[in-house]
Amino acid sequence: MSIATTPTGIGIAEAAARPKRGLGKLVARLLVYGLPTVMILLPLVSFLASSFLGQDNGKPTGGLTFANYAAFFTSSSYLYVFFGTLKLAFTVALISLFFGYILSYLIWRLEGSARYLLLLLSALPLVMNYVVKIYAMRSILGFNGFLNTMLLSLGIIEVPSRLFIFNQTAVMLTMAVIYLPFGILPIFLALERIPQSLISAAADLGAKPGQIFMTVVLPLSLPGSIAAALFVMVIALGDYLTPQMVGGSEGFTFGRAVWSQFGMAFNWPFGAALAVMLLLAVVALIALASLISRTARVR
Amino acid sequence: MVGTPNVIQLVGVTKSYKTVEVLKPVDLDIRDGEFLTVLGPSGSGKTTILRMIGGFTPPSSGRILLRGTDIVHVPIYKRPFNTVFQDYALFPHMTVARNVGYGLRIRKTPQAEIKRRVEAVLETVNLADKAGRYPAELSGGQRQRVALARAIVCEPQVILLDEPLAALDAELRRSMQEFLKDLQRRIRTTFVFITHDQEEAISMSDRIAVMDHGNLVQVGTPQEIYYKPKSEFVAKFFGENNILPASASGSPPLAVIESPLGKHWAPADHQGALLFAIRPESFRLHDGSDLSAGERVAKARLDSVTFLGATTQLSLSVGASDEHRVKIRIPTALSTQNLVAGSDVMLRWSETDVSFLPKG
Repeated sequence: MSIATTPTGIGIAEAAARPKRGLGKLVARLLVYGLPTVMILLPLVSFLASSFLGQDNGKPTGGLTFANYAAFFTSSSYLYVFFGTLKLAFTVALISLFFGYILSYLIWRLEGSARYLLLLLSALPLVMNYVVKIYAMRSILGFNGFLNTMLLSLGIIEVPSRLFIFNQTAVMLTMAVIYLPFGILPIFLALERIPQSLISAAADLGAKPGQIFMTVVLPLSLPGSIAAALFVMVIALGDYLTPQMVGGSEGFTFGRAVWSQFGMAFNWPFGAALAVMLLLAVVALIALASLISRTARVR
Repeated sequence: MVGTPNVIQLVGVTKSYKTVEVLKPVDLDIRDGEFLTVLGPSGSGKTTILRMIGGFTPPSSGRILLRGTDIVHVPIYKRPFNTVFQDYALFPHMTVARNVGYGLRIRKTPQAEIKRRVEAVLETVNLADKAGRYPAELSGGQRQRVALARAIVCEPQVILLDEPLAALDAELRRSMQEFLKDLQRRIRTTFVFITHDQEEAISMSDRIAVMDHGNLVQVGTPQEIYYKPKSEFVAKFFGENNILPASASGSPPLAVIESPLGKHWAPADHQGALLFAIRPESFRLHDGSDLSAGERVAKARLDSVTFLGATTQLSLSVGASDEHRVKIRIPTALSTQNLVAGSDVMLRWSETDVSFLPKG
């Protein structure tokens, strides 16, 4: 060790340590690139590959084919469900954007501890079990549910309505309620990113509260809010459990179509092809969301 | 009150947050067209004063008068003042031209007039070629000038500047100081400027209001503040100063003040223990020539000589048993090179350069 104090000694020690550090770097690289490859990319590639497989009696055959995609694009019913689900998810996103924005804005305008308490409360459903939330919505929307009971007791309707359960509306309402917290949090963050001094500056330059909202708050928070809504749309697109539980036979969605190919028809390659179509839609939405938030950040 | 030379008057204005009084009662007159600097260390209440004038925070008590009319209850967007914020607060989603025109658009000024005035004011701040840029594409100094342009284009009665130069590096800061002072002379608008930088305050202001711990301790021209401080805080806050203990006695009209630099006479409102303050550059070395009226001399022992370039700083001991230290700064000359530590010298100064401060 006494050698290490001389300049040449340090050189020797460094040279000895170099291969070791090289090995450490290699292991780190393997972890950084290897883990995502094994855990994310491989399953994705395998399911992408299986969508090009033919199948016979519930068993994939070895041959490669475009037949699964051809079947999707030529089947009017699958296309109908696909675009119907896009529309449904879009509606859910719009509702989250609208109500999420209003709620976030109101919370954002609060001061002191009430603000974070309310934010916490609005985020609380996120940690609740998903199935429990769906059941809760079912008990509200159901034939003998809270909504019907209330409307009956108010005398608005005379017999319980079947309008709220086991149809597309039920799926839409349930998703809108369950996914609202996913909208509130990012919209609140978008509002929170607006420096207080900008609002002071606008007021200082003569803007009334309404004008401040229209000229400063809304334009600065809208890109982030739209990105949040697109995120909600992505979750709604892939959801098959909510339509399964409150949709009934009318509330058929693309997520259920994918599930039925895997779980009931045992046509995995076709199911994979449908899932790939869903994935493409999701990737397109995420790309759009990131484009919107990036252009907003440049300014 | 019509015709008063004051644009703004603060009358007994205070501010408390819960039980903490951040601003003790303040009376301050801001004159029309002046460059007034509110100066103080951080936490002294200077920004609070600005925020209350601007309407961002209401005072806890007291009145704020705009040409004689109380504006405490006038909302911020109706006050004829504009603020330049410390972080500039430019709207990131608007171009320079739209940022500058914001106040005019809000007031529903005709499009053609907005265009003309924005172009004119961008010319004034030398940013005519940057009209189409976004704030993120500008340098710190350019953003600063956009913020200025945005404030002056509305032709406010007062422009409030909240430490606008704090974020700039030293060189840019100096050129912006000159630019600001020059701009203020050209547009003849009252500037209320907040800073914690003494040099900045002295070089830019017509008058300085010095704040300390929520108190307005002194208001005056830079010369008054520098040479005639009224408290130990002000005397020590600006540059170097010699502060010596003294005591006053005697009966009206004149009190006799005993100090380590000999006897002085002052108005009889000074009594008992007090402090004696004099600037290092107010001293000269006595060359034996005749003293003029009000000039005084005292013997001192030279402890050390520090050559500073154009000036030379001498550290001296004064008092009956050389127990007090005094620093003086004199122009460097051939004769100063012959000064030797340990020798005795005679100091010479004018009584008018001495301030007597309450002790404590």
